[in-house]
Amino acid sequence: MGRAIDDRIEAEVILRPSDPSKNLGQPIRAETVEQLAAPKGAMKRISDKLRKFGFAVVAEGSASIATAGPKALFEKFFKLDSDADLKTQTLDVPDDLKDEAEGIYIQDRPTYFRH
Amino acid sequence: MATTKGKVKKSSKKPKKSKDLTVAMFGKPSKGAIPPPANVSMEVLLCPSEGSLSPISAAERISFSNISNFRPAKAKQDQAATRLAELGFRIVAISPYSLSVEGPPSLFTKTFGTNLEIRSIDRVQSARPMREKAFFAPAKGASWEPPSELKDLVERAYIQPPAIYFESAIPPKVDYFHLNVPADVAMLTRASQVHQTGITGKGVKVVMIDSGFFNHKFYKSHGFKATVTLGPGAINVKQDDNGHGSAEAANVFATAPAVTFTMIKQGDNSTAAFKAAVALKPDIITCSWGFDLVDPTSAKRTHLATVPGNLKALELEVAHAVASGICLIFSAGNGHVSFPGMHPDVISAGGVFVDQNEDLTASDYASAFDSKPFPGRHVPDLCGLVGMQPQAIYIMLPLQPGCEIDKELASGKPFPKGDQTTKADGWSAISGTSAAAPQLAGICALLKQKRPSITPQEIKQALIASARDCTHGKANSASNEGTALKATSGNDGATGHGLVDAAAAVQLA
Repeated sequence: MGRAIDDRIEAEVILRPSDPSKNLGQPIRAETVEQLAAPKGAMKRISDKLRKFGFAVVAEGSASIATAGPKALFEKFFKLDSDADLKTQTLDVPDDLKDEAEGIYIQDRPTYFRH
Repeated sequence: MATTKGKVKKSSKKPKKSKDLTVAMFGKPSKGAIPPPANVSMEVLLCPSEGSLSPISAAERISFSNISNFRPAKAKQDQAATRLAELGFRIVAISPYSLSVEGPPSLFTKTFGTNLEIRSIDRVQSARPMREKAFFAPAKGASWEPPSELKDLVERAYIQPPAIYFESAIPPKVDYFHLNVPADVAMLTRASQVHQTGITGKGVKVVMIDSGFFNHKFYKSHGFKATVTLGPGAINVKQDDNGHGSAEAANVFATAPAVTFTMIKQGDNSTAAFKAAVALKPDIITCSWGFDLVDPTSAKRTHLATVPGNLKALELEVAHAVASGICLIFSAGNGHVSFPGMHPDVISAGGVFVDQNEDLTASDYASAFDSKPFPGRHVPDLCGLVGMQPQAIYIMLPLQPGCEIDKELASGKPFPKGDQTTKADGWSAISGTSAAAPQLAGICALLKQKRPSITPQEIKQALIASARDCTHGKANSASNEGTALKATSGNDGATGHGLVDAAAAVQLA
């Protein structure tokens, strides 16, 4: 699939909606997705913080940020168990990002539907 | 193998087995082979400078994060280029890490105190008759003695063998019923009828997110043009080592030959690739992949009740893309409980098999289920052309010769377990709902060309309202907790509204 290097971890940071009553746990649809918009400037603020922590910001979407970095950085920054499969571990949003980030999730490869 | 130091000899014996890669890969030329070129092309790797690493002997792997450690000093690069030029070599290209150099074989052997011999591409690597190309290669066990003036500059000089192109624009002959692109797929989806009216997808931007795109002769010969963009984390823009994207893209061109097509080659983060696709502001995005939302500990493949956290970002971006006016098509899955194929805002592409009599049967390879995370959502909406179990070997598609899929299906097993192609011929007979999504995407492009202001919701409605009913067969039971949904008259569990009908859909657009 064109993977760059083996120890690179990819993650998605989901921004917290500006309206605290909106729940990202519900189905998200085209007609309501705008209600989940993050506060103005939140994308840049979180991206800047991620870069400051040493992560790369590889893509910004409408309400999420794709970030990446070496496995060791993820383990150290999120205090993960290096012996366990990283992709099964939950990342706790650090205090520095908590106000504006709803969650951070490690990404895995999809399945191609030929099989 | 007889060689003489400092000379070039034509090998007269069959090469012995060797661990030398060049010897193992290439054999001696036979009569009629295209003679070797007058010059040898080589890649010159420079000796590491102080503090830098050798790409040959360093223990660590080369990657983007450490590539600068392998960069020799610019002065060394300039010195090596100057000295090689003084010796009579032509400097073709200079990069920070290597020099591309050409020169006569005799100059190469004399300069580096080594031997060359003539070899050719081994016939076993060729899937079909092709004219052999002879080329100069290092002789087995040859010495390597760069002159003193290059000793501290040049670490190695590797002769480059000619590139091997095996694929033909014409698909191989096989003796079982299958479809060819573009003609059969265009005919059975009734897209060819639309093409005859002058609607071919021209001016409509379609983006596919997949494993990459190899510019196969098939595409060149048909005049199908693709732009390839690397998604975040992806590498090698010209290669598709998996083969999936190169193959499935042919389904887009079969139904919409004149679309403006871009392939986003994805890395490990599909959501990031999706964002890259949206940033291109396309009219249509097609994805032949997804995530299987089942409890991995359940033998029955119990469906998950909600979209897991790691896919929430993708859910957000999918909804936002549709809200932005982009028409999304996702595969329903091949027994998978697919997400985003189950998202209510996408067109979910299932499978119908059309036989030689043009009878329609629900593909037992394709998924059909009711979504738990999105109550009221049934998958699929409608269908494209998909084969049957066990392997859905159905549509002969072009891909990168020798890629994963090319090798995998060329198992030597008879149809329907193997596809009767060979391991490096650049063709595989595959389908799955991976084929259905790009077929529908191409047809969406036809609708969009006819009425540029059409919304994603209107496209979906037109496709659904015009689909051909499929009343026989059942879907893949693995996608529905062990119970296969059946095709019946009208909107049914297995095929949704049936097989896409491009001509009827364009009428409704």
